Amino acid sequence: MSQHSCSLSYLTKLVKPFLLFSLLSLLAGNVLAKELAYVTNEKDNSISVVDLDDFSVIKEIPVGDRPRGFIFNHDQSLAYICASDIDRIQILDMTSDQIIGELPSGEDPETIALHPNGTTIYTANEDDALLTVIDIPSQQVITQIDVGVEPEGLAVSPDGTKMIVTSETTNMVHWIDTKTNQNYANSLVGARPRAAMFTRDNKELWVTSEIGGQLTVFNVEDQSVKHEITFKIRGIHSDRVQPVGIVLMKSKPLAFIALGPSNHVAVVNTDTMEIEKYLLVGRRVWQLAFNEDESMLLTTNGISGDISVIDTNQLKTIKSVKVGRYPWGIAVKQTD
Amino acid sequence: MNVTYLLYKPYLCPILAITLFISVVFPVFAKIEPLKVNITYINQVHEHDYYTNPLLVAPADSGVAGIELGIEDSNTTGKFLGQQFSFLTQTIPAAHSSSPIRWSEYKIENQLLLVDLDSETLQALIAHNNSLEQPALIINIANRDNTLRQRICSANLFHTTPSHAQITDALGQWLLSKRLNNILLINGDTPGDLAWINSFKRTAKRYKINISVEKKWTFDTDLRRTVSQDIPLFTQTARPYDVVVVADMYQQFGQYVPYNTYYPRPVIGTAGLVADTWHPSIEQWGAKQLQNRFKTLHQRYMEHADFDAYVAVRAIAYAVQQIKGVNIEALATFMRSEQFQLAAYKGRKLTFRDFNGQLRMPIELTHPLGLVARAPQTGFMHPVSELDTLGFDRREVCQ
Repeated sequence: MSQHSCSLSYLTKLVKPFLLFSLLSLLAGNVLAKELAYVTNEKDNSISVVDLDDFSVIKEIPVGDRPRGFIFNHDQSLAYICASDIDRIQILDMTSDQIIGELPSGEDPETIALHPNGTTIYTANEDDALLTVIDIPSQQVITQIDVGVEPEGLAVSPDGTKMIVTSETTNMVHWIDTKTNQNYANSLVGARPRAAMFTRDNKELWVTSEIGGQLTVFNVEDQSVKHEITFKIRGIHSDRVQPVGIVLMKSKPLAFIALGPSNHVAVVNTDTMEIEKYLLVGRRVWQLAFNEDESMLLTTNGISGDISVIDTNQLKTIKSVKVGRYPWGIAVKQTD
Repeated sequence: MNVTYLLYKPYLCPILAITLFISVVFPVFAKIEPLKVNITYINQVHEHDYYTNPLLVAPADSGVAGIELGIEDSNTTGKFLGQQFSFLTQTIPAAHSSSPIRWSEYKIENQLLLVDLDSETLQALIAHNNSLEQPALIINIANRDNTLRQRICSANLFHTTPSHAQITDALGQWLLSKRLNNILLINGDTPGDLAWINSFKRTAKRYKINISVEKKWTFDTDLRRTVSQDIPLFTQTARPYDVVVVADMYQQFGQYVPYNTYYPRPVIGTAGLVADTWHPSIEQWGAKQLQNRFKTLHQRYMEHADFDAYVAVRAIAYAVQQIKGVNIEALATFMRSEQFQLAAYKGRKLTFRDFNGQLRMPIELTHPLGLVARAPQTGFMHPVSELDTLGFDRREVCQ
């Protein structure tokens, strides 16, 4: 007996430093590198917060009706949420999880984009065919710009000089000068354009057309079409392959395109513009977001009510996490 | 304030003179004229010689409300492209109230026509149109007669409203997917009911659904008082059925059938579970935005007749947008081509069947307050498009 207890205490002694170390590293991991994904649930009027260490939903934050577009400010202390059915952009304080204010948004804001200056926010008013430009510090609408029917996708060029609105029913990309807030060019694209994204060098604009089934890449300088890609997935009718959300990787020459009800995400090599792979995810995938080091890509899947996690090194879907009903917008936050 | 009045004000004269001079001498400076796209909506006074349920009376602007929204949406797009859409309405008398209309003597405005006409009048219009040197483009937005899809293959005729066959096939697919294949069919007695029944019988044959008993409603009771006695008696059969199919387009008795059948079975057809193109509860695929715009404009919900008309305007607008002109032949050719791809809040692109001008579209199965399912059902395959499992296929048309 004594022998036994002795050996146990000996063992404990031996293990203690390791235990301490592992505990510390665990704490450090939690404190330094914790990442949380924020997902707006269109039908549940809430935001699900997913811990990306163990992929558990750690909380649900109630927000305004029909939350869709979701972005952080630059230091991630605040988030802006399009609460479409109450016609507002809500400001969420990230430390208290409370709605601390609202921005005037015009009717039915669907998506939002933040100018690199951090003080101008753009929102598309889907029901009114308008783009609203809002000054955050003064909480004033600077102007409203007439665009096509059902404006949806927004993108601000990284250098802040241009911004883009796509209008779904007009089948158009509207080019807007951010200095003058004037619509200086319009380009027709395939039916029902959804998302727009500038490359980091400001030279290309990527636009997806949901019903047209295309990805169009424009030269930003003269709005000429540089590439047009259509997607084809074996065993799935082309009508169901509907490109929506786009993300471009910083660390690798890869782009990921969500393909809606085909339940796949396409991986496009941005050097060769070849489609490298199709990854199976949840049902009706629409928006995409990377974590900080781009090791993970998260997708919101509207119909299956979950998010899929893609390992960007293996190019493989590794997990799905159940969130609320009709997850729509997504963004990842670093906590410290 | 007219010009003569202005001229009396001497200080305005130089300005006026300069303006006049500029506008006469330098017409180049005038704004570039937008491309005008003028559409005519031809409808007909509908007179029924049978009772219609007052609960079912369509809104006065049924259909045309969809055209109005379509024109508004197309103009929002058109302002970026220099295109201006407008429409006018021409109403012709009901078919049986006078001698049939002589289209050769009737002045039709414009070359783009949206029509809501009975089959006979529509066929006469198509015959007349085919004889013209410059035929118009005709879109049928309301008539669901199967014959128009099977027998008439004019290159300038399109249908944005589904055929009865698309509707009954949608119901047939639902029956098959639920394994309900033993039917009690109850018939009404209007010509519309007959067309519907014939279409349903075609569906039943196609999907091997067994109509075990067929009964015609007798119209010899007042159901408002005796419904719970009469319907069970009427629906009593020697052997149980799986489902009751009601063909009663004007709801003269059909609405009393659900929950009162002798065997407790579902009711589908024109009462209970119905199939159509639109329903206020539809909100997927951007439909919510369309519903919102419609409600803002008309202060009511969008119905299927409005949707069928709306889609017709959008089809024209999309074709004009793509071919950048209003040449009728070019428009008609483009609309039948594979390049035509209409986004119409149905989750997939809609195209026209090149062999009969019918719009391919998913059909919604609904109960009064919500969506139940959508056809084509999963598993119904077709070499060209799953949407072609609904309605007439190439080999059934114009042979």
